[in-house]
Amino acid sequence: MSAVVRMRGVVIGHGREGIAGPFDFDLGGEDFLVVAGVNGAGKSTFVKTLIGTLPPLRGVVESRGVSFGYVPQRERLDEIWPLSAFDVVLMGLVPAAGPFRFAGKAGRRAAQEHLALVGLEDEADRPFRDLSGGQQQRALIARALVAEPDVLVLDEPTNHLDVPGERAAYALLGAIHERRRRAIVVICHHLAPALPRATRLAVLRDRALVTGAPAALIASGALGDLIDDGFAVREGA
Amino acid sequence: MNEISFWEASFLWRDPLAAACLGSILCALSGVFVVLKRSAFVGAAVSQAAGLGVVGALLLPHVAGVVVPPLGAGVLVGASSAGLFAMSRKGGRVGVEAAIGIAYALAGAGSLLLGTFLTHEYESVHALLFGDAVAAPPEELAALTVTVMGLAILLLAYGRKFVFASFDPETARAMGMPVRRYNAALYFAVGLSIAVATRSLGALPVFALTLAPAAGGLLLFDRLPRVFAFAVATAVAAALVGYYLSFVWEKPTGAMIVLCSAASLLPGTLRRILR
Repeated sequence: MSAVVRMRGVVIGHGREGIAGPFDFDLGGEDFLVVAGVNGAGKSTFVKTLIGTLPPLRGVVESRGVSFGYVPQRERLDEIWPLSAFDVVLMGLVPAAGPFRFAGKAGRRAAQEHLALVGLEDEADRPFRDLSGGQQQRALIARALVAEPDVLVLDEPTNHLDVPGERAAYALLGAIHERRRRAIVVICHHLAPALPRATRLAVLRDRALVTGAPAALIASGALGDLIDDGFAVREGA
Repeated sequence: MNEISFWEASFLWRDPLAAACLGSILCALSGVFVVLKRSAFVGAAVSQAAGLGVVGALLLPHVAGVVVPPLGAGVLVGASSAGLFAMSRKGGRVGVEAAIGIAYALAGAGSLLLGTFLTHEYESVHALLFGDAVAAPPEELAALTVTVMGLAILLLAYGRKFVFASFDPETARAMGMPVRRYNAALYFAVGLSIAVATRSLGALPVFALTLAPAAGGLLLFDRLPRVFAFAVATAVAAALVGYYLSFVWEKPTGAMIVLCSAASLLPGTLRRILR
């Protein structure tokens, strides 16, 4: 499948300060891309530039007509808001809706189906703030998917999740990728559970972006100390 | 005690009470967003900025020979100041609370300094801004009615977008929403509502009616529509009961409305204690 996002001669950064680049990068329409790097390497800046919420300092980013679904770090959400899990998922349809447009039957059915997709069909009416961390994460994934985006982007989706929660989150992402064959971009620190699902890996290090197949990058040593010694990607893990 | 009954004096309170009810609806609708966006002092800052607008309009004929309606200028400057709060991003270097505090201080100082160039008119600034709780001229009722209808229509049209842009601006932006524009529009609407309501109710009751009914709703309910309904119902009830009690007990109307608005916190507080 052809590229859905093209970056050419791009320098990423904030204000006048470049963090990484210049580099070229293409995001394939069916990539499961894992973005890795140490703190401050520019993972979030790279992804924000990729999806167009942050302009590049130099270069061109092309993603005409591509829609993005986004899953933020859930600890950035204020729990004061009185919203049910269903309300949160329905929110995914809001950007495309016009004034006075309420979620019709089709929208509500889509929200219910996406809650079922992430295994939360019985929690639809529960307050979002009362869900566990893993459940909140799944509701946010359902919200990102309900508008059927071309690219699903997740910013450190397994932060503060326990090991089973982390495994379950990546199993869900793997299943979604398998079923939908759309691009998924995941920023993560803990690579071990993410890499077996990944089809591509992007590593930001020393102001450069290195991309390739996970096994090849691990073998080349590009990940350095980002993974434990002796780590290997097993097919079908 | 009054010598005539409350009902016999209906010709006295009918219009002011209607104005208080309309003002309380404005406070409750905008208050839910004010509390959820953790911008509690937006009401105080808007009142100060409106004061600056009124003083500026009173000065203009002297310095530029231009006549601007002072009340209109006050409402516009007050509402615009709230719109500017949208410039401070959640999690940005300067938070919304700090921006509101700075606006409050600067507007207050500005009106005091500019007020020194006014002679007789300065005394009318307070009356223009805070009106009179026991009198409501027809134009005030009309302004309140139009603002209530405008705010209701705006929330029906864009309420869900305001909620998304406020709850999760990062995702809303990633999904293509112009978050800053929605925030500016929301804060402008909140500022306009507060400025118009302040004219009929006074600054202190508006401050209380913006916060207490919304906070009471949030303590009690886990659904946003119910929070809105509760806030509007209790704010109107606080205006009605406060007005009635102030008449029969001959106490200040504004203070009585503030005390009554605090009752909206009771059900949610009791519920939490009993849990």
